Amino acid sequence: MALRPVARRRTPRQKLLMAGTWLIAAACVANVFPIYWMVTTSLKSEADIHTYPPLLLFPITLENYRELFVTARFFSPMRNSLIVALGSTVGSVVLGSMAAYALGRFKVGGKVFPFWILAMRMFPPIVLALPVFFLASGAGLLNSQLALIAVYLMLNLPFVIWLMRGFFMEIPLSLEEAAWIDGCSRWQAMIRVVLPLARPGLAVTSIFVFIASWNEFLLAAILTGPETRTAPVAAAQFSGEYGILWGPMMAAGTVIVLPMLAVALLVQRYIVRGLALGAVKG
Amino acid sequence: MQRLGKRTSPHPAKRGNDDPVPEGEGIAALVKVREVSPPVLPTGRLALGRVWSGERLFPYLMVAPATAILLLFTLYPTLFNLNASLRDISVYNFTSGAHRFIGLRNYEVLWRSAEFWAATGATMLYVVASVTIGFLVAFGLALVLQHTPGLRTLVSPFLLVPLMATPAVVALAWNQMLVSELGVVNYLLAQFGLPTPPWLGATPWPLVTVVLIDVWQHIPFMFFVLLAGLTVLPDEPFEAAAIDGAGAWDAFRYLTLPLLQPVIMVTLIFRTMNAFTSFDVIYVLTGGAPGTGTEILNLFLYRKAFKAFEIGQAGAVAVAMVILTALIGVALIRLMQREETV
Repeated sequence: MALRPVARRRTPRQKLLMAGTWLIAAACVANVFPIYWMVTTSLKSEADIHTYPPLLLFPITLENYRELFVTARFFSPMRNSLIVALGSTVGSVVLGSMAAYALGRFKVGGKVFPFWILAMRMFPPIVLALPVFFLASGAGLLNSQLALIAVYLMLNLPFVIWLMRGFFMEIPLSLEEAAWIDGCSRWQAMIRVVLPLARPGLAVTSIFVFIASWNEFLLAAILTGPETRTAPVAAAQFSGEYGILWGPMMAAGTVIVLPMLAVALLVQRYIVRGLALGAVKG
Repeated sequence: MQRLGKRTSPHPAKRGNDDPVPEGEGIAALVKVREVSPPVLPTGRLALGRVWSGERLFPYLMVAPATAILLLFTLYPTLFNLNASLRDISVYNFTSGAHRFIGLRNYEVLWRSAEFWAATGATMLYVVASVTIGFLVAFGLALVLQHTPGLRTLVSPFLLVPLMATPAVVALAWNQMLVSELGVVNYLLAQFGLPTPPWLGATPWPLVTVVLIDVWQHIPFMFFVLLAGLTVLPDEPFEAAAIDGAGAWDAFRYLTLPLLQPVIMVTLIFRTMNAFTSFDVIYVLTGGAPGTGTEILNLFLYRKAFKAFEIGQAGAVAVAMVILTALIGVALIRLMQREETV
């Protein structure tokens, strides 16, 4: 709370801080309320969901989760999401880090190439939807996870390259040179000296990319079929002909979002740092 | 780390013998270069280029797989869209395979279509409103929390929630909270005697709703980036200004804003480009139904491609969108190069 030492400005600043504190308290509530509401709704009986005024206190039931996992077999979309997110994360982090290392250490493609990579991040995914749909159907990959993994890989690459390039450039070249002098080949130096030092960066990048893939909806909706549907797509389909099945839908939302939030909160510091590096979530 | 001591060793040890290092240009010369400049790109290039010129291919091999994938997934779609946009492909001849070349007819139809311009207008409105409102709130929050690290640690976890939550799921949750008769949002608003708008009902409201949800979801991103920028600002100018009797507003106007300008720039640009790709929330909440005013270009393209199967038209929309994005992308690169934030 060490403010700048200007005595006569203290009073208005304190007023401002008071107003700010209220604003911030409101902001905190507003930030978590939708998720809070989703979780509590998922624990309500169908009758309680449709009660007005909305209930803040209610008997907790796990009926919606039973319906979600037993009747609607939600394990399958969850597994699909996990496979796709893991596959695209590993792929994009490995290939992206290789490119990032080269871009951070050499002038590959001059000044233009890194910016081309950056511009890639602005490519609107919807533009890919139709061509990739035909590409996948031509390759017979329409209802497989492979097509989705490949597309996410591509969507994640620019982000990984941009972020990892920054991390690699932070590692002093002298460390590598020292390793070369000691007889390491370039590969050995990279694997034994650079990679261990880049581990925090790799972790942040992987988490970002994993969550981005886990959260993706548009291309998943287009490229998957009943067997390969990812969790967010399956969750959105609880709105059937007989109206929306709020209970199971909110339960689905809860099991999709809560694990990611848990991870995000655990590694909060790194995520904030990743954002601060000019890196950007989708 | 202990190897560091050896780096001034005068002889470059075990290297490929096909690459003799000229006198006085070995590691010693490199060390000299390194002492005057930090080990950034030029040094790296010099060192690796001279000492390891036998392996010139190495960086290119490292970049190749990623580049190949990026090229495949950008060139192919672009060519596909271009080709489709010049042909007559619609639901009527979709499967027949005979797609006549019709020149720029698709673009002409698009240019004359009220729906396309409505979608373009909605996109502009959506992006500008969402970015502006979100930026003002995020900047305000960041300014308030700038000098209060304790409060900041308290607030950060809350702000992480919208940032990491699945947009499609967020839309489902908001949908539950906004359903006309039962929604908790309107219930709470009514408790405070506030008006209860038809969030997903009559025409301007759905657009307001999707803008507000987009704002809600992306305030944290802008907040964290701006806050990071604010916390690394130097203290001295502010102290000097305080001694000179400058007020808080003057300090903000003449010190904070100019000093933070590069960060503000990057934040706004990334956020703007991100807003242009919005799809999930609108799709889940309104389906982008043309009457609701929420059909931004992304939804328009989706409807043309996957509902109406007007592939030719969809191609033309896609080409238009890529051109638009490219223009903004070029502007971004110019700005960032000028700000030297890279």
